[in-house]
Amino acid sequence: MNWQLASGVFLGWSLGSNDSANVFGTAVATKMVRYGTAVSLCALFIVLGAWLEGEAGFHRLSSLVSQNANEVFFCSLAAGLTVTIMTILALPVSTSQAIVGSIFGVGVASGKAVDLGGFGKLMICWVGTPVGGFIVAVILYRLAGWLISRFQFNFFELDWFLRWGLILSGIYGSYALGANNVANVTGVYVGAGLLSVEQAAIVGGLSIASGVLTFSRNVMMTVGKDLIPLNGLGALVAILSHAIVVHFYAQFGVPVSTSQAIVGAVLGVGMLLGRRIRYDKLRRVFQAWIMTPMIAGFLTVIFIRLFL
Amino acid sequence: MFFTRKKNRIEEQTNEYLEAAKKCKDAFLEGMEYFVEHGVVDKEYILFVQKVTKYEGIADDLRDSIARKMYEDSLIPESRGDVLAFLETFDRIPNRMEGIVQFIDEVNLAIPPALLDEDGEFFTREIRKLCMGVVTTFELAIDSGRCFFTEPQRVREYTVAIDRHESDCDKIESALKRYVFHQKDFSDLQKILFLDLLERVGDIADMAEDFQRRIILLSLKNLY
Repeated sequence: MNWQLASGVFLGWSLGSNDSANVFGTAVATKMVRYGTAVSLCALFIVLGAWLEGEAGFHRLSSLVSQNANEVFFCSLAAGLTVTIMTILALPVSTSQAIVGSIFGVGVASGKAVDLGGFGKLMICWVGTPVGGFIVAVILYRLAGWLISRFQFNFFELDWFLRWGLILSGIYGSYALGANNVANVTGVYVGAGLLSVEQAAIVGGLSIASGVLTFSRNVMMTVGKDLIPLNGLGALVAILSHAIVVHFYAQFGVPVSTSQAIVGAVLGVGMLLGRRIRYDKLRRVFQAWIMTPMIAGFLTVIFIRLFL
Repeated sequence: MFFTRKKNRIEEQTNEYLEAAKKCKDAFLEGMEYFVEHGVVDKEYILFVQKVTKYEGIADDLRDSIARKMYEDSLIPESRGDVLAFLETFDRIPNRMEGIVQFIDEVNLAIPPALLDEDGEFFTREIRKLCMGVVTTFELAIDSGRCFFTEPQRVREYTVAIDRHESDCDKIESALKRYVFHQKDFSDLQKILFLDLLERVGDIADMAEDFQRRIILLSLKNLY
């Protein structure tokens, strides 16, 4: 295996350690699911999602800027470092934006042609992600509320429904995460001819899973519990909504931010519940979204100028 | 519900807990009726005290077991909080009932013999009414408590009846206190002790009303 893959594996590890909080963070932080169980399920279904539905994203990312093997290495390294720094700061950073920022940085540093139209389309989808999460969450919460009233769940039935709903949503969210985000990790290697599509799916999926298993506890407490206090149904709807949006974009090969999707969903539910939003936390999240592609792009330019 | 779901142990134990509370209530009423009829603490009365203590102890054990199992059976945090709040507010009532029957025994309370015959009819009749009233209020609270777990949308239906009974109990309690303090058959010490007893008994209805208010709020949280 080429040494250039190391940075991609590192990026996948960073992605897994950061983004797994979006799917199981609420359940683990509120002690509904043990951390060990959550990360095991998350890792397994990330790999499945990457393997079964990750292909569409590879072609999209590899077409933005053509890269050689060494450029790919530094591109992934810069994105991985950026995500790791944000993970240590316990911010739900967008790995999609980090890798796209890095790819843009390759274009700037090497003077190659950049598919600006492709970048533009991705950015439109980035805006659509939290908006989509918001809208889907509002619809789902109303629907779920109607179902609960219609079938008159008793106390223990509702508890059972919410508990298993959170676990199954976490599993679906993990699958969608793998399907959508594996392209962020190994898509550039497909473009550089270092990996086949199938190899990229397996290597990418496993590297994301390794991040989940080894370094995800730090961020798990931030999303959902910390942003807006939600009830059990609110948490379930937020996770399910974000999974639906992320999986939707995976069908078109557009890597989007699971973090943005969950923030949009959490806001949607929070507003329905009339809850107080923690604007200080929200501001930090938005700052991370803006800083991430800039930092990743800047690091890529530095690496390529220094080492290539 | 359209799906099958195995009842978890907590669900079974909450039913057992409410049943134990019901038996405690029944034993309390029997004990109080015996005391009002005979006016003294004797061996027969002690048996009623032991019965109330037994069922209150069973309820306590079940409450502790439920509190422990909530974490083992992984109820979601919201549900844990609701169940704990339910138990905390409800459990005061059987405790109070046990406290009342024990109090009568410990201070060797006695109703003046003059009040046990026809002249004292008002006193014994009204004490019976008060005991019956607080027990009925508690019975309604038990039924409301069952609805909290099975049909939360029906919890509110019990509010009017509980409020009415509690209000009636307040009036009886007040009338009895006035009677006791104007009655020359009671010594000063007996007046103070009976005043204490009447307040303790009347508190049962107040606690039932507090419990109803608490679970209405909890049940509204689970209605969507």
